[in-house]
Amino acid sequence: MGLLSLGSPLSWEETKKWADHVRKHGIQQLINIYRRLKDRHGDVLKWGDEVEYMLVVLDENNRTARLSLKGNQVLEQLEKRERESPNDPPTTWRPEYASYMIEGTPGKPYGGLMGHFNMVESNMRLRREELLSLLDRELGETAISFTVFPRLGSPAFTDPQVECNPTVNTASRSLFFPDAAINHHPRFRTLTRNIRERRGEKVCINIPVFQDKNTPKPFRETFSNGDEESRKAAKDDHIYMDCMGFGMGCSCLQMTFQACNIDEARHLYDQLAPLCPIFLALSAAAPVYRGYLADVDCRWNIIAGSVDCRTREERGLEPLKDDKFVIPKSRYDSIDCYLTPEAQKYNDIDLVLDQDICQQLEDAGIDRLLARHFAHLFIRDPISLFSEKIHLNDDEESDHFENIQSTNWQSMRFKPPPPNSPIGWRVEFRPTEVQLTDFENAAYVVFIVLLTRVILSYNLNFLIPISKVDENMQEAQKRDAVRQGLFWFRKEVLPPNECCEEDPKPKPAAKSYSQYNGSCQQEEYTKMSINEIINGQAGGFQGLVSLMNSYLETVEIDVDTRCSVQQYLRLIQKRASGELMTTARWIRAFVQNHPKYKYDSVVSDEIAYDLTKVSDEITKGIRSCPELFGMLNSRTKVSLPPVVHKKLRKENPDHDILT
Amino acid sequence: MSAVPVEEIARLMLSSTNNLTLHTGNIINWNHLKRKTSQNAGEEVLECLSATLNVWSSTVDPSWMNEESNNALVITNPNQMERISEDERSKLKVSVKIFLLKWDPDLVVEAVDQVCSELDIGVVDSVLLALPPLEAEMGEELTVNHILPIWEPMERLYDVERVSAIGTSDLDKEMLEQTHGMARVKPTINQVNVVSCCVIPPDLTAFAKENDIQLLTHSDPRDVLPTPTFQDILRGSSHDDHVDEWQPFWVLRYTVMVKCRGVIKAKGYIVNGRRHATDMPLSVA
Repeated sequence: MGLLSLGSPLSWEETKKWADHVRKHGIQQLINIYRRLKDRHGDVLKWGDEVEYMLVVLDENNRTARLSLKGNQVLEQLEKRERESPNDPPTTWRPEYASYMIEGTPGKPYGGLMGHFNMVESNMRLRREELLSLLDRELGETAISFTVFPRLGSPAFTDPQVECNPTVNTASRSLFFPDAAINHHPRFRTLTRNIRERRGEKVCINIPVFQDKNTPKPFRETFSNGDEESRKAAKDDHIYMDCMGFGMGCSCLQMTFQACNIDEARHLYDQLAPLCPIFLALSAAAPVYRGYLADVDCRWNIIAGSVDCRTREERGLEPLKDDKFVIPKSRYDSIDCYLTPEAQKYNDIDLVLDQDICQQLEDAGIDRLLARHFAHLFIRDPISLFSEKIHLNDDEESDHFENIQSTNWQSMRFKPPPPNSPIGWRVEFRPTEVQLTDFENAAYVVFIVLLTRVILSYNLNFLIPISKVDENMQEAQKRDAVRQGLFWFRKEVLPPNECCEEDPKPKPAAKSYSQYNGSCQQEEYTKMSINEIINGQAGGFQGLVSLMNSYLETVEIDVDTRCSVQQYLRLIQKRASGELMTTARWIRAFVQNHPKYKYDSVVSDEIAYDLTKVSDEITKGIRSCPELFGMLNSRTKVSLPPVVHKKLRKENPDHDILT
Repeated sequence: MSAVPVEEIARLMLSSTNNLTLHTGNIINWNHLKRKTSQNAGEEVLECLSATLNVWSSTVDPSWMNEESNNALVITNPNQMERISEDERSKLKVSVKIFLLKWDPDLVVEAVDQVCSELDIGVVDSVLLALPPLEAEMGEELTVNHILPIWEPMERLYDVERVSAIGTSDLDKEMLEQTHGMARVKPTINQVNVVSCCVIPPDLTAFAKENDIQLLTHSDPRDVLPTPTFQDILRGSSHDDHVDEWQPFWVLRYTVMVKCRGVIKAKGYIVNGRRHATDMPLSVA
């Protein structure tokens, strides 16, 4: 999660003093990057995925599952291996927010060959094997890619058990989540503390509890170590959470791809934004929080709440006095504006932005749309700053820019190239929830990256007003949204026809899409189910998969890759139709069918143990799970087909992609 | 001339030729092709050719035609034309599949020449050859002796660097092994139908691996353009009373991809058909 600098972190009071300095130099750094690299062109496709894992200890005797806090220790070993690897290591490891989390990525990016789609799952397997090899099976240690650990923040959820109360938790002041479970790198505790201090109170997350037949009504908890603040903050019939760890202690699945130039990056950013809620719903995997079944299936709003550093003034609860803006959203949320001129008319929500910064960017030659985007990100204060990293050379470094950019955790991220690097303009797709198995994770990753190729080849258009994307984002998190939700989506995603088709005569009645505006826009989109969006409507929208199949029939693709891609598309199709369960639905069903479940929404230690154990067995392939992924099976490979591999080594001896 | 309806001109032109080449141009943005939930190459060829002929016969323009000899007619959909400029050529990969419909080696070279001239390129990156159906006098079973004569022009195209890689389509392990064994220039690609991509016979996989042959997938029907279909297309546009004298000789599909980016730039079909008066024998090699 963002860059890690070693050093001495500043307190919030200190950081605040430097906020304008960071913004000013951050913007200058951006301007320098832009000037140097705006015309960079001809980059090939390179892309990668990030999977986050949770370290878990399964205690068979006591039938408990705990999150193991030895992440730093394991990470050190992984990084040592990476450094000492004689060849280019195929995997890379990074720390994550919690000390039970580790993030794994491929050692080098995948490239623009079809064969790369078949390497994702193998690389994910390799990562998991590497991680598991450092864990002690005898002690019940394992690694699971849960989006959220079912008893995160419940009593004694960590191994070792650590004291947890607002007094010892000096960073978060949480009742539930010990500071000891936060990554030991100073950045993470600082973020936690600074977010709380900036906000002026603890973060406050209330997620509706799932009302089962024996769930108390009202559902109201008493917290043994609770204080006045928590009593006020916790709402009836909600699961109350009070710190950054509940959000940033969740895992997710992200993918980043390099565009051929800045315009393509902006284009993909815009086109993928409306797909964020669709993939949030399709990947839903987070129905349990702090040991209770929730009435939502996804992590999104929990993370948004967990890093919501806005003051009462900024949240509009008090009139503006010391702060500059009323800000409608947390730093972590769905994007607020599109970046391309074609999409401009769909920017229908008020964009809070820093006018001076916007002007500065425009004066530097950055067009208004892009200037507004960054001036919007830069309404935020830095929330972590190191004393060694205050005075920088704006020509050579981009830390201040990255400081603000990388703590705007939005559904999409538009990433300028780092200074002095071979990397081009990139886009990151961030909504997807992580799945249990490598097969499922590969399926989601491949689906999205393949879809970007289809978008570019067929010039597809998914734009809808950004306010509708926001609505969809909320719809996506509802329980079983994948089967029951309805989402705003374009009726026509194909570009207007410039050409004659069957009908040779000019079509005076045909509306080109630039002719649509104002009230006419209403005709462009309608509400659809996820099934209709993915699999198509009879006589209406053809569905994403049909467009992808049309692409796959046209490109050259080897048999193994095609087989795997076919399986991945089927998984997504069947999840969309409801034939296969989302992880969230499966977890819900597991809990509700557990013999010890009392229909009171409580996911007890014992239920959590069984759930975790079964999840571990499914992950490792010891247990099949037809409800989740049927009998689907890929033909994934660790490297490109041998012939392609040979040829590529010959043509590209630098091999800066995974082969 | 101006008083004659365009459809009449079209009809006259079609009746006066014995050799017809149709080029759809770039069909990548033909939306109706993507509106259907599933479509195979057969349906695609049918639709694009009909559309091309329709446009042509209702707006005949002499500039659309290339009368190379007095009775060969080349119709290209000009709205869809996309020639490849020299500076972008190195960033693109042009792949071609020839569906040969007659066992005539000359047709292979003719098809490749045609696509090069239509796209304005000198070299094709890869050409795959799909075999014609067996004809009555050729026996019951396909043998390597049927394949080699039509493989030979592929080798020549490779020799003169007109084509950078050559391959086959739908050869089983036996046929691939024999062709590979006897061919002077070996196939480096063999296409397999997508329905079997998850169940490729292990011996085929092993043979391909040992011999550096890529196994790629296709989803083309066995007979991409049946003669009656071709005749129906002509009937629809030309009002020619003698359409049953026409037969398709080859179908070529080209795909232009942006290298290392997975982006399709262009795709199109070129089809050649010939007319034989019913009392004239077919010229078959």
